[in-house]
Amino acid sequence: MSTTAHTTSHRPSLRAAGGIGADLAFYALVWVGVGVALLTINLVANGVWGEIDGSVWDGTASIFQYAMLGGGVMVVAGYLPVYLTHGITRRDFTTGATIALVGLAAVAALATTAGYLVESIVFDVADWPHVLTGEHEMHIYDRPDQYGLIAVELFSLYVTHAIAGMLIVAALFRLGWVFGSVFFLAGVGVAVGSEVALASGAAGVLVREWLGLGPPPVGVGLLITAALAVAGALLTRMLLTGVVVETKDAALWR
Amino acid sequence: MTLDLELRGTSLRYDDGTEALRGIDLAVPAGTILGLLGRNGAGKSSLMSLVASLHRPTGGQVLVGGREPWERPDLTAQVALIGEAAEGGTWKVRDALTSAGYLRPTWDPSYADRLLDLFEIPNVKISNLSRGKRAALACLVGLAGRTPITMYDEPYLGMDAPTRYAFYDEVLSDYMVHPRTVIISTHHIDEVASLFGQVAIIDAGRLVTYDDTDNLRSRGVEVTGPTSAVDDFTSAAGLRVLTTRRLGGTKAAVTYGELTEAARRRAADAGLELGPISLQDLFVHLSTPQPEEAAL
Repeated sequence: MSTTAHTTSHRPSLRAAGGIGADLAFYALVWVGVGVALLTINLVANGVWGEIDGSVWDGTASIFQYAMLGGGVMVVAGYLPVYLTHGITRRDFTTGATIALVGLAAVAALATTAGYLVESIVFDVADWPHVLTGEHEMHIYDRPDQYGLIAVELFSLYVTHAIAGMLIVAALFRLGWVFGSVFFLAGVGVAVGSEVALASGAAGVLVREWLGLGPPPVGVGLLITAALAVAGALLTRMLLTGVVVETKDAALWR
Repeated sequence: MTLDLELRGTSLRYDDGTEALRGIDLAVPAGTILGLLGRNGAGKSSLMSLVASLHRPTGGQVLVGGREPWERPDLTAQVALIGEAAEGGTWKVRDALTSAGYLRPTWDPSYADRLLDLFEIPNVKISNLSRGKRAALACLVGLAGRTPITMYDEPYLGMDAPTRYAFYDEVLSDYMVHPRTVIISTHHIDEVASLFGQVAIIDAGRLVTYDDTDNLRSRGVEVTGPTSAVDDFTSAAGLRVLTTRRLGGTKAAVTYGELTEAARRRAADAGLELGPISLQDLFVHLSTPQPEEAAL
């Protein structure tokens, strides 16, 4: 195997996006494996001890946004020192990391949406009803075959959660544990805020129920989520642009 | 491509109040191999971290090619800081090299492959490499990166002597073909001194001296002879006495300063012996508080 260099004529932010994206692809594969395993366990558990009266994938897939939050944390914590040490600026790193995570969010949203499609085929063969049955189901979709809306909701959630993860770590890098922890709330705000806006995830549904709100209008939900994503990304960029890396933490590899 | 480097009244104060650098003025011409010498905590790593834009100076300026490098991608890409090699997480050796090749515009993959063989680095998880092999991998990244300003912050700690010498040889041979500005911070001064075109010594955050290596060496002289003659000579020649040793009526003074031919003749007439001192000894004496006079 040769250490063949990829083309290095691209802008630094695109090089950063490509480098991070290549590693995130592996991360995504791991999560596909986790997703399949969870679905299998869920199906078997429901089949043996319960009754399959609706989509199992909908409940299983609801945890994937937290994997995206983990991805955001991992990218900043694991790659920022490496990329700065290799001469990528903080701004280019932030742009590249955001591009890579948005790309991952798109791929993950499509893959998760495909899960609903696969499930519909399996349920059709088994003659199980393919419907949403959760007691607290809201979402911006109300049937598991509304693939467009499902993909849009998942993509939006994945993006906000990834940015929330980046924001939390960026604050810790920039401000240290004491002051940085304050921004933990901002990160949680971006993640939970988007869940509330889209009536998705346990926190989002519970907050909407507590506020006495029903399912959100799609446009409003997406607009609020987009605003949270942009605000979180800008705050992350602002925090990372001034971050310093101690010489002992300068890293040539992850 | 080569780039010069300049520090103008550069200071760095950490958040905990530590004054790491205090008004450093230093101009390193493009294409220089500079030895950056200093005791532990003298400020060597801090200086290099400013050039690499890991930190921002709290006073003065750092200029790379005449411009401040902070958040300028065209300049940060031209600077590499190779520090002590981290243990690494999940990456294998090839992953690290692929990543470096992806991020470094001047990366030479075939040279990296040759260095892998030269340093006998296996393609295993970096965390499974010995400390010496990790150090060799870091040096490889510095060499194959061919970055116009490459700084080595003692990454070769842990490398065995043959590998260190192989690294020194590579620094020089690759520099001859691909000239660039190389800064090497080290404690193994004598074994690497032959590489240095210039030497800067810093102590307690201040620049003690910066000169061509040959000039610096010529300024360090040990004067040995009768005590009174040594004292008279060093005083008359205006030499800075760094340390002295005495045995009976004989005194040896390690001095630093310009010694003219006329002064050398006067020393010979006075029966004094003038001897060279190594760069290592000169560094030790220039960067250490003057000790009490010792017995020979």
